[in-house]
Amino acid sequence: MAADNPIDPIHQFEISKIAEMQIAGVDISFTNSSLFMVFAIAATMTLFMLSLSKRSIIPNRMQMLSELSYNFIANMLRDQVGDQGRAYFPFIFSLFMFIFFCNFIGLIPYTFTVTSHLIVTFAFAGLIFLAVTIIGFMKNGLGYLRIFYPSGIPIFLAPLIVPIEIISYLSKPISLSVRLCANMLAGHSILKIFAGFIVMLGFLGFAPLIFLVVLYALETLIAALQAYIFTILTCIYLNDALHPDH
Amino acid sequence: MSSDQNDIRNLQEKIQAAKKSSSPDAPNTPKPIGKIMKVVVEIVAAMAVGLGIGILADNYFETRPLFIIIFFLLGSAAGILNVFRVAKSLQNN
Repeated sequence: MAADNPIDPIHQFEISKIAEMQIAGVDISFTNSSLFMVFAIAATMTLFMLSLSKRSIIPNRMQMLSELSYNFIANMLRDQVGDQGRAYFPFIFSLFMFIFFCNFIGLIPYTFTVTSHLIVTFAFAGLIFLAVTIIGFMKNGLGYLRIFYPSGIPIFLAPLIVPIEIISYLSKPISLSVRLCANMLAGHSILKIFAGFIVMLGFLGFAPLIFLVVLYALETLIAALQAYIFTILTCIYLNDALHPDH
Repeated sequence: MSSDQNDIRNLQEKIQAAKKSSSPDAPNTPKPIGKIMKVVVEIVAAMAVGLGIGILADNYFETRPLFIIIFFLLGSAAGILNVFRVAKSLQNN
Protein backbone atom coordinates (compact mmCIF):
# COMPACT_ATOMS: atom_id res chain seq x y z
CA MET A 1 0.00 0.00 0.00
CA ALA A 2 2.57 2.52 1.13
CA ALA A 3 4.92 1.69 -1.71
CA ASP A 4 2.22 2.58 -4.29
CA ASN A 5 2.00 6.17 -3.14
CA PRO A 6 5.16 8.24 -3.65
CA ILE A 7 3.92 10.92 -1.24
CA ASP A 8 3.45 9.09 2.03
CA PRO A 9 4.21 11.10 5.17
CA ILE A 10 4.08 8.01 7.42
CA HIS A 11 6.55 5.93 5.43
CA GLN A 12 9.52 7.59 7.19
CA PHE A 13 8.50 5.99 10.50
CA GLU A 14 8.48 2.41 9.21
CA ILE A 15 10.75 -0.07 10.93
CA SER A 16 12.66 -2.42 8.65
CA LYS A 17 14.85 -5.28 9.73
CA ILE A 18 18.47 -5.11 8.64
CA ALA A 19 19.72 -8.31 10.24
CA GLU A 20 17.25 -10.83 11.63
CA MET A 21 18.06 -12.25 15.04
CA GLN A 22 16.10 -14.34 17.51
CA ILE A 23 16.99 -15.45 21.01
CA ALA A 24 14.63 -17.93 22.70
CA GLY A 25 11.76 -16.92 20.44
CA VAL A 26 12.19 -13.20 21.18
CA ASP A 27 12.73 -11.07 18.11
CA ILE A 28 15.82 -8.92 18.70
CA SER A 29 16.52 -8.11 15.04
CA PHE A 30 18.86 -5.25 14.23
CA THR A 31 16.50 -2.69 12.66
CA ASN A 32 16.93 0.71 11.05
CA SER A 33 15.95 2.12 14.45
CA SER A 34 18.90 0.31 16.07
CA LEU A 35 21.16 1.51 13.27
CA PHE A 36 20.33 5.16 13.88
CA MET A 37 20.76 4.70 17.63
CA VAL A 38 24.27 3.46 16.83
CA PHE A 39 24.74 6.52 14.60
CA ALA A 40 23.68 8.83 17.45
CA ILE A 41 26.17 7.20 19.83
CA ALA A 42 28.89 7.27 17.17
CA ALA A 43 28.22 10.97 16.50
CA THR A 44 28.43 11.80 20.22
CA MET A 45 31.65 9.85 20.66
CA THR A 46 33.21 11.29 17.51
CA LEU A 47 32.39 14.82 18.63
CA PHE A 48 33.98 14.37 22.03
CA MET A 49 36.95 12.28 20.94
CA LEU A 50 37.88 14.66 18.13
CA SER A 51 37.29 17.85 20.07
CA LEU A 52 39.04 16.70 23.24
CA SER A 53 41.98 14.88 21.63
CA LYS A 54 44.10 18.05 21.63
CA ARG A 55 43.19 19.68 24.91
CA SER A 56 44.55 23.19 24.95
CA ILE A 57 44.19 25.97 27.50
CA ILE A 58 42.87 28.25 24.80
CA PRO A 59 40.20 26.03 23.27
CA ASN A 60 39.42 25.90 19.58
CA ARG A 61 35.83 25.89 18.36
CA MET A 62 35.25 22.16 18.63
CA GLN A 63 36.65 22.06 22.14
CA MET A 64 34.47 25.04 23.05
CA LEU A 65 31.44 23.13 21.77
CA SER A 66 32.03 20.10 23.94
CA GLU A 67 32.98 22.19 26.97
CA LEU A 68 29.84 24.32 26.54
CA SER A 69 27.62 21.25 26.38
CA TYR A 70 29.33 19.88 29.50
CA ASN A 71 28.83 23.16 31.35
CA PHE A 72 25.22 23.41 30.16
CA ILE A 73 24.27 20.05 31.68
CA ALA A 74 26.44 20.55 34.78
CA ASN A 75 24.74 23.90 35.48
CA MET A 76 21.28 22.45 34.85
CA LEU A 77 21.97 19.62 37.27
CA ARG A 78 23.36 21.99 39.91
CA ASP A 79 20.42 24.41 39.60
CA GLN A 80 17.77 21.70 39.72
CA VAL A 81 19.22 19.10 42.07
CA GLY A 82 22.09 20.76 43.92
CA ASP A 83 25.43 19.26 44.86
CA GLN A 84 23.92 15.85 45.58
CA GLY A 85 23.08 15.50 41.92
CA ARG A 86 26.71 15.44 40.87
CA ALA A 87 26.83 11.65 41.17
CA TYR A 88 24.20 11.36 38.43
CA PHE A 89 25.94 13.67 35.98
CA PRO A 90 27.29 10.91 33.65
CA PHE A 91 23.81 9.48 33.17
CA ILE A 92 22.10 12.84 32.63
CA PHE A 93 24.80 13.96 30.21
CA SER A 94 24.67 10.74 28.16
CA LEU A 95 20.88 10.96 28.11
CA PHE A 96 20.91 14.52 26.83
CA MET A 97 23.53 13.89 24.15
CA PHE A 98 21.80 10.73 22.93
CA ILE A 99 18.36 12.33 22.59
CA PHE A 100 19.87 15.49 21.14
CA PHE A 101 21.71 13.57 18.42
CA CYS A 102 18.76 11.25 17.74
CA ASN A 103 16.55 14.30 17.18
CA PHE A 104 19.10 16.06 15.01
CA ILE A 105 20.07 13.05 12.89
CA GLY A 106 16.35 12.60 12.23
CA LEU A 107 16.23 16.07 10.64
CA ILE A 108 18.56 14.99 7.83
CA PRO A 109 16.56 13.76 4.81
CA TYR A 110 16.40 9.96 4.27
CA THR A 111 17.19 9.24 7.91
CA PHE A 112 15.10 7.65 10.62
CA THR A 113 14.05 9.45 13.81
CA VAL A 114 14.54 7.06 16.72
CA THR A 115 12.68 9.29 19.18
CA SER A 116 9.53 9.38 17.02
CA HIS A 117 8.60 5.91 18.30
CA LEU A 118 6.69 5.88 21.56
CA ILE A 119 8.19 2.59 22.70
CA VAL A 120 11.72 4.03 22.54
CA THR A 121 10.89 7.14 24.53
CA PHE A 122 8.74 5.13 26.93
CA ALA A 123 11.61 2.72 27.54
CA PHE A 124 13.73 5.72 28.50
CA ALA A 125 11.06 7.35 30.65
CA GLY A 126 10.10 4.07 32.31
CA LEU A 127 13.72 3.32 33.14
CA ILE A 128 14.21 6.82 34.56
CA PHE A 129 10.99 6.50 36.56
CA LEU A 130 12.07 3.15 38.04
CA ALA A 131 15.56 4.42 38.79
CA VAL A 132 14.26 7.60 40.43
CA THR A 133 11.79 5.61 42.55
CA ILE A 134 14.52 3.21 43.67
CA ILE A 135 16.87 6.13 44.44
CA GLY A 136 14.08 7.81 46.41
CA PHE A 137 13.54 4.72 48.58
CA MET A 138 17.29 4.16 48.97
CA LYS A 139 17.96 7.72 50.13
CA ASN A 140 14.86 8.25 52.28
CA GLY A 141 13.75 4.75 53.22
CA LEU A 142 10.02 4.39 53.73
CA GLY A 143 9.89 8.14 54.44
CA TYR A 144 9.82 8.56 50.68
CA LEU A 145 6.14 7.55 50.81
CA ARG A 146 5.28 10.91 52.35
CA ILE A 147 5.45 12.50 48.88
CA PHE A 148 1.99 10.95 48.45
CA TYR A 149 0.69 12.75 51.53
CA PRO A 150 1.70 16.42 51.52
CA SER A 151 2.01 18.00 54.95
CA GLY A 152 -0.78 20.24 56.18
CA ILE A 153 -3.60 18.13 54.78
CA PRO A 154 -6.34 17.10 57.23
CA ILE A 155 -6.49 13.36 57.85
CA PHE A 156 -10.06 12.95 56.60
CA LEU A 157 -8.98 14.15 53.16
CA ALA A 158 -6.23 11.51 52.93
CA PRO A 159 -8.39 8.85 51.16
CA LEU A 160 -8.99 11.38 48.40
CA ILE A 161 -5.58 13.04 48.20
CA VAL A 162 -3.38 9.93 48.37
CA PRO A 163 -4.87 8.19 45.26
CA ILE A 164 -4.70 11.47 43.35
CA GLU A 165 -1.06 11.93 44.30
CA ILE A 166 -0.26 8.33 43.35
CA ILE A 167 -1.92 8.74 39.93
CA SER A 168 -0.10 12.03 39.48
CA TYR A 169 3.19 10.25 40.29
CA LEU A 170 2.45 7.34 37.93
CA SER A 171 1.59 9.74 35.11
CA LYS A 172 5.12 11.16 35.09
CA PRO A 173 6.76 8.58 32.77
CA ILE A 174 3.77 8.69 30.41
CA SER A 175 3.76 12.47 30.07
CA LEU A 176 7.56 12.47 29.73
CA SER A 177 7.63 9.91 26.91
CA VAL A 178 4.49 11.07 25.08
CA ARG A 179 5.74 14.65 24.99
CA LEU A 180 9.03 13.79 23.27
CA CYS A 181 7.47 11.25 20.91
CA ALA A 182 4.48 13.40 19.93
CA ASN A 183 6.68 16.39 19.18
CA MET A 184 9.00 14.42 16.94
CA LEU A 185 6.19 12.49 15.23
CA ALA A 186 4.04 15.55 14.57
CA GLY A 187 6.94 17.70 13.43
CA HIS A 188 8.30 15.16 10.97
CA SER A 189 4.84 14.36 9.59
CA ILE A 190 4.14 18.05 8.99
CA LEU A 191 7.48 18.47 7.23
CA LYS A 192 6.70 15.53 4.92
CA ILE A 193 3.13 16.71 4.25
CA PHE A 194 4.29 20.18 3.23
CA ALA A 195 7.06 18.66 1.12
CA GLY A 196 4.30 16.69 -0.61
CA PHE A 197 2.37 19.92 -1.30
CA ILE A 198 5.39 21.34 -3.12
CA VAL A 199 5.39 18.39 -5.53
CA MET A 200 1.62 18.40 -6.03
CA LEU A 201 1.30 22.15 -6.67
CA GLY A 202 3.91 22.18 -9.43
CA PHE A 203 4.86 25.76 -10.27
CA LEU A 204 2.83 27.17 -7.35
CA GLY A 205 4.87 24.96 -5.06
CA PHE A 206 7.16 27.84 -4.12
CA ALA A 207 4.60 28.99 -1.51
CA PRO A 208 4.76 25.82 0.62
CA LEU A 209 8.52 25.73 -0.05
CA ILE A 210 8.97 29.07 1.74
CA PHE A 211 6.78 27.81 4.54
CA LEU A 212 8.77 24.58 4.70
CA VAL A 213 12.03 26.47 5.19
CA VAL A 214 10.51 28.35 8.14
CA LEU A 215 9.03 25.14 9.50
CA TYR A 216 12.38 23.40 9.24
CA ALA A 217 13.98 26.10 11.37
CA LEU A 218 11.19 25.59 13.92
CA GLU A 219 11.78 21.83 13.87
CA THR A 220 15.48 22.40 14.55
CA LEU A 221 14.50 24.47 17.57
CA ILE A 222 12.06 21.80 18.74
CA ALA A 223 14.67 19.04 18.34
CA ALA A 224 16.99 20.86 20.73
CA LEU A 225 14.16 22.03 23.00
CA GLN A 226 12.68 18.57 23.46
CA ALA A 227 16.07 17.09 24.35
CA TYR A 228 16.43 19.92 26.88
CA ILE A 229 12.93 19.40 28.33
CA PHE A 230 13.39 15.65 28.63
CA THR A 231 16.67 16.17 30.49
CA ILE A 232 15.46 18.96 32.76
CA LEU A 233 12.37 16.95 33.76
CA THR A 234 14.64 14.01 34.58
CA CYS A 235 16.59 16.40 36.82
CA ILE A 236 13.37 17.60 38.46
CA TYR A 237 12.21 14.03 39.16
CA LEU A 238 15.66 13.24 40.56
CA ASN A 239 15.39 16.29 42.81
CA ASP A 240 11.97 15.11 44.05
CA ALA A 241 13.51 11.74 44.89
CA LEU A 242 16.51 13.23 46.72
CA HIS A 243 14.57 15.96 48.56
CA PRO A 244 10.97 14.73 48.99
CA ASP A 245 10.09 17.50 51.46
CA HIS A 246 10.12 20.29 48.89
CA MET B 1 51.20 48.68 35.96
CA SER B 2 48.00 50.50 35.05
CA SER B 3 47.27 48.04 32.24
CA ASP B 4 47.59 45.22 34.78
CA GLN B 5 45.12 46.94 37.04
CA ASN B 6 42.80 47.44 34.08
CA ASP B 7 43.04 43.73 33.34
CA ILE B 8 42.19 42.87 36.92
CA ARG B 9 39.26 45.25 36.88
CA ASN B 10 38.00 43.71 33.64
CA LEU B 11 38.35 40.25 35.11
CA GLN B 12 36.47 41.35 38.22
CA GLU B 13 33.62 42.66 36.08
CA LYS B 14 33.51 39.40 34.16
CA ILE B 15 33.37 37.39 37.40
CA GLN B 16 30.56 39.61 38.68
CA ALA B 17 28.61 39.12 35.45
CA ALA B 18 29.13 35.36 35.59
CA LYS B 19 27.99 35.27 39.21
CA LYS B 20 24.91 37.26 38.35
CA SER B 21 23.97 34.96 35.48
CA SER B 22 24.37 31.81 37.56
CA SER B 23 22.42 33.09 40.57
CA PRO B 24 19.00 31.46 40.96
CA ASP B 25 16.95 34.62 40.54
CA ALA B 26 18.39 35.35 37.11
CA PRO B 27 15.56 35.44 34.56
CA ASN B 28 15.34 32.08 32.81
CA THR B 29 14.84 32.13 29.08
CA PRO B 30 11.12 31.64 28.46
CA LYS B 31 10.13 28.48 26.61
CA PRO B 32 6.44 29.03 25.79
CA ILE B 33 6.06 26.24 23.20
CA GLY B 34 7.44 23.59 25.48
CA LYS B 35 5.43 24.80 28.46
CA ILE B 36 2.11 24.71 26.60
CA MET B 37 2.87 21.24 25.25
CA LYS B 38 3.74 20.18 28.80
CA VAL B 39 0.40 21.30 30.21
CA VAL B 40 -1.65 19.44 27.58
CA VAL B 41 0.32 16.22 27.97
CA GLU B 42 0.08 16.33 31.78
CA ILE B 43 -3.74 16.24 31.76
CA VAL B 44 -3.96 13.46 29.18
CA ALA B 45 -1.28 11.34 30.86
CA ALA B 46 -2.95 11.51 34.29
CA MET B 47 -6.36 10.67 32.79
CA ALA B 48 -4.84 7.72 30.91
CA VAL B 49 -3.23 6.39 34.10
CA GLY B 50 -6.51 6.76 36.00
CA LEU B 51 -8.44 5.00 33.24
CA GLY B 52 -5.81 2.24 33.05
CA ILE B 53 -5.97 1.56 36.80
CA GLY B 54 -9.77 1.60 36.61
CA ILE B 55 -9.89 -0.94 33.78
CA LEU B 56 -7.39 -3.23 35.52
CA ALA B 57 -9.30 -3.04 38.82
CA ASP B 58 -12.62 -3.73 37.08
CA ASN B 59 -11.21 -6.72 35.20
CA TYR B 60 -9.84 -8.07 38.47
CA PHE B 61 -12.95 -7.56 40.63
CA GLU B 62 -15.45 -7.89 37.74
CA THR B 63 -17.28 -4.74 38.83
CA ARG B 64 -17.23 -2.84 35.54
CA PRO B 65 -17.87 0.11 35.33
CA LEU B 66 -17.52 1.07 39.01
CA PHE B 67 -13.73 1.49 39.26
CA ILE B 68 -13.42 3.00 35.78
CA ILE B 69 -15.68 5.86 36.87
CA ILE B 70 -13.92 6.35 40.22
CA PHE B 71 -10.37 6.24 38.86
CA PHE B 72 -11.18 8.30 35.79
CA LEU B 73 -12.43 11.07 38.07
CA LEU B 74 -9.36 10.69 40.31
CA GLY B 75 -7.15 10.75 37.19
CA SER B 76 -8.79 13.96 36.00
CA ALA B 77 -8.19 15.48 39.43
CA ALA B 78 -4.54 14.36 39.23
CA GLY B 79 -4.30 15.99 35.79
CA ILE B 80 -5.58 19.28 37.18
CA LEU B 81 -3.10 18.92 40.04
CA ASN B 82 -0.26 18.40 37.53
CA VAL B 83 -1.31 21.48 35.57
CA PHE B 84 -1.55 23.47 38.79
CA ARG B 85 2.03 22.48 39.66
CA VAL B 86 3.30 23.40 36.19
CA ALA B 87 1.55 26.76 36.42
CA LYS B 88 3.13 27.32 39.84
CA SER B 89 6.62 26.56 38.51
CA LEU B 90 5.95 28.92 35.59
CA GLN B 91 5.01 31.67 38.02
CA ASN B 92 8.21 31.13 40.00
CA ASN B 93 10.21 31.63 36.82
